[in-house]
Amino acid sequence: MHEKGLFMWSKCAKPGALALVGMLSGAVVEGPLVAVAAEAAMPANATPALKRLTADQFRNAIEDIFGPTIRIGGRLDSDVRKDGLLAVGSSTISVTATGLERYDTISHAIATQVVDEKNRETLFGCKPVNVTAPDEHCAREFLSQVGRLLYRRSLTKEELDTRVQLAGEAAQTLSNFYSGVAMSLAGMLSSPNMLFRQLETEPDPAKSGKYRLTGYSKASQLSFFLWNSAPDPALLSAAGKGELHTDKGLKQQLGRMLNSPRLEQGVRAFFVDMLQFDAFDTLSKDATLYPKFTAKVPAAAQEQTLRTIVDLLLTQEGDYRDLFTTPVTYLNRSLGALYGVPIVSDLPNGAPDVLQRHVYADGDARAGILMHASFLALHSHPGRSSPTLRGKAVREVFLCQKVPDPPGNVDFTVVQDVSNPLYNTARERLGAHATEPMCKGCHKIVDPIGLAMENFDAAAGYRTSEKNQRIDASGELDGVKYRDAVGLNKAVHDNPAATACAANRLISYATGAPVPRNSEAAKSILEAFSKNAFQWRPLLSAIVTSQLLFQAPVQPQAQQAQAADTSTRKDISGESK
Amino acid sequence: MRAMKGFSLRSWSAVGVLSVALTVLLSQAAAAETRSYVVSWFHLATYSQEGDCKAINPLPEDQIRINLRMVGKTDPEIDELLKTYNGGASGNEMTNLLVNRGRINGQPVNVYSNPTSQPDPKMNTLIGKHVIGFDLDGKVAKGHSFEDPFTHEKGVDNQLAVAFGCWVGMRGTPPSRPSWGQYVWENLQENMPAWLMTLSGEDLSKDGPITVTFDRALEHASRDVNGNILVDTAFRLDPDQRSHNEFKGTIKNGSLTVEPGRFHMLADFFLITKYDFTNTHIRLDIKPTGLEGYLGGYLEWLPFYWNFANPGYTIEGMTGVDIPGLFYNLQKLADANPDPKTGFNSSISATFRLEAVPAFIVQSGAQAKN
Repeated sequence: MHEKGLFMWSKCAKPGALALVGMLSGAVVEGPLVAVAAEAAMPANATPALKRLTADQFRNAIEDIFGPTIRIGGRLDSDVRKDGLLAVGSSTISVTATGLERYDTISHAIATQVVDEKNRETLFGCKPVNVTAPDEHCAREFLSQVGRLLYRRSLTKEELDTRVQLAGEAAQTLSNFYSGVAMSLAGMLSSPNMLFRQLETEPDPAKSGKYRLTGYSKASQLSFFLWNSAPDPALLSAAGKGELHTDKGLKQQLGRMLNSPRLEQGVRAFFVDMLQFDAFDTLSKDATLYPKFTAKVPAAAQEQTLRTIVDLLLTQEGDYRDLFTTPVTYLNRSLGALYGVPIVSDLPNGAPDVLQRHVYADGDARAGILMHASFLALHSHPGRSSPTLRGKAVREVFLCQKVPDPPGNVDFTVVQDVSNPLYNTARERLGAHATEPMCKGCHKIVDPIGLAMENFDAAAGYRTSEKNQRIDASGELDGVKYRDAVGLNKAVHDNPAATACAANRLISYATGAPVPRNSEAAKSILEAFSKNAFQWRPLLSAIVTSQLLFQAPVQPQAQQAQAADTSTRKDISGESK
Repeated sequence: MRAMKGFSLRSWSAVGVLSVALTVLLSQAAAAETRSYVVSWFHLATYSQEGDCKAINPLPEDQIRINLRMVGKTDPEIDELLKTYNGGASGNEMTNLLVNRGRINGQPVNVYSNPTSQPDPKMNTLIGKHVIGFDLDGKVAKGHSFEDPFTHEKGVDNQLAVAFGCWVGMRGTPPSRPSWGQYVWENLQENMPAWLMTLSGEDLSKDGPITVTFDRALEHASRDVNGNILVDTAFRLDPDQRSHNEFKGTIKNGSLTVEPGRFHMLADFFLITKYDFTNTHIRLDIKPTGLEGYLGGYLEWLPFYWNFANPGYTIEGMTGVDIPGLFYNLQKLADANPDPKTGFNSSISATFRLEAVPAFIVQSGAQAKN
């Protein structure tokens, strides 16, 4: 029976450790893949050995390898947030049974498109002698090239032989060379080698008894960190030649990647993760109260923030802190209507509602990303704003300060009842609620932040009053008092925790693990961030060169033995891994 | 597009207060306050009441049966033909029979193009006491003068409502809207650029003089979550002067009225090509959520008829309005501008319900088309 890309998790003998075993529906083709997610056996902040590609990473990789014409339908397994990031959660998740079926279906759909007549000329470098029969030479050439990009390393001889054999047998059965290749390719696409990033190690020649990441693993770490996608051929080539183990080679690749247009994709991915935009999937607003929050708004709101970020951090090479105060943003007509800003377009009627640059006047309360719908609406209830949710989000997302969840037996009636004539504004409702001792502590640290945003309703529309009572938007953040959202923006901008949080989040995003307390490497990175006027590219660079990104995972004995084995494994190019 | 030069206009309603510097817009320069709107509803004002028709005109299928009998078909034949009814598309036998049911010299002709090729079916018209509108001619005449149910003004002239008032799809009482009106306006909204309005005056919250303008936008209106026109959207002003209208008026107790004038707005070439009123009267309430009220005057009824005749077969199938019957109603009820050649009045009094919601208007840099 031929491989259908199926695989399964099986429990290792070692408690808490999970081994991923490549399987066929009948015959194993790739042998045991090998990796240990090792949740219980490792410290929480250890570099994880295995991370599942996020849905976006899978899509980006396919698009980068096969081009944008390949359509990737279906919904992949959802990602899990841990320690504030999906990137950290990706090291603790597997593939569900239904997810596996979806990957299998999607993989076959992709493979079918790749071998489609209209794509062959572009994607195949060779032609079979006879299209109705197997052609080992052409299959080997195609699968070796594509396999290297999909697995992010060169295939071993055994792996490639098996793939070529499968393509041949399928071609024979189906009397079609391309159908045979598609069968084999689909198996590779849903293989754990594709779906999971496995950090492989090898003995470090510079440090006796220590291990280091293989060049290919370093390439993957770099690429998914900076581009949120698989390594390109140039990076894989450098990895294969061992250049990523040298300062010169690493800096060369780092410089190339930081100046690549694909960096924007990576920066966007980080902020999508950090700002928790996955929550937009389930965001809803009361249509009666917020009729302007149309179906176009959620996507536009996210894009507004991402464009603002990319413009400031990459195009302008600006100061990260200015994200909280910048008057420059990007709006389309839908957002313009929501915000009360006149936005028109020269494009014909019916054309996409594109975002365009907009600069708020000095002192406008809408300056800064905290006043975007992507924050204000996301951290509100469907029918009312929430100073508590907003304040909590500022603390947790931008200052990395964990706010405890409310106790299970709290009575929220006073806060939720907006029709209570005794309390006209959210400030009054929260004031009444916070008299309960069990609530007081947390509300004290979040409400003064969120109340400053009360001039913005649950859909991010501007308002000056609630139930005919003028809104008092004054508040305080860590001792800094302000009158309104403009003051809050400045307070966050000037708060040292904001930059430390950004740096630490980015480190976690890069490594897939929380930053250890008192990490000297993290301190050095933060210093570099500060020394470089809180610019983003220098921060990315500092993380890469700190070697935190390339830290070898903690290895149980069993995997060390495996690592020693992979260190001597030769790939088909003859390059040592 | 030219950059907005302090020229953006917006409402002073819910989204906050924005002082508007208006320096260039048309002729109402130096107004201390300008509010801008996009028209969100414009259709024949109806005030349908029990007993205001001798009988309701036939529904679509009944009217089709009547018309097929007119061309000699028996009921069993009609039953067979109705099985082939395809909702208004052309090409089948029943369509040909209905479209060409007119007779000139015994030969079939297109009845929509030649409405008098069919005898007057004497469709029912309104006989009630009330219609919404204005006293356009200053006379309280017998036979075609009514009372406005809201202002209680006597001698109200709205013969268009009388002509249409007994077809089901044309009936409705505020706040409910006639279903045909809903269909027409929703389609117009999707297919034509938005209509814009501005109000300018010293202080629009107080009594005093006011200038009201109407223009077309370059953009179409957008919809909100509930399918209504999206509030606070921005539009560029179409510099085409054919759809520029300006009225001088007065605000009193939160309502505005204007000095009569001409109202000419291009609409959509497919459904309603244009609205062209003379002796236009306007009455609008100024609310925080927008404008609500009425616009009335005299329409040339024959051009208005062609808006119905052109898609006549579809309209008959959808609404039951007998198109030649409508022609005869309009001809009989027209009440202004007698044509010396034909002896018929060429214009008919009409009042439309008008609603508008706050919007931004920005100047377009495009050259005027005319």
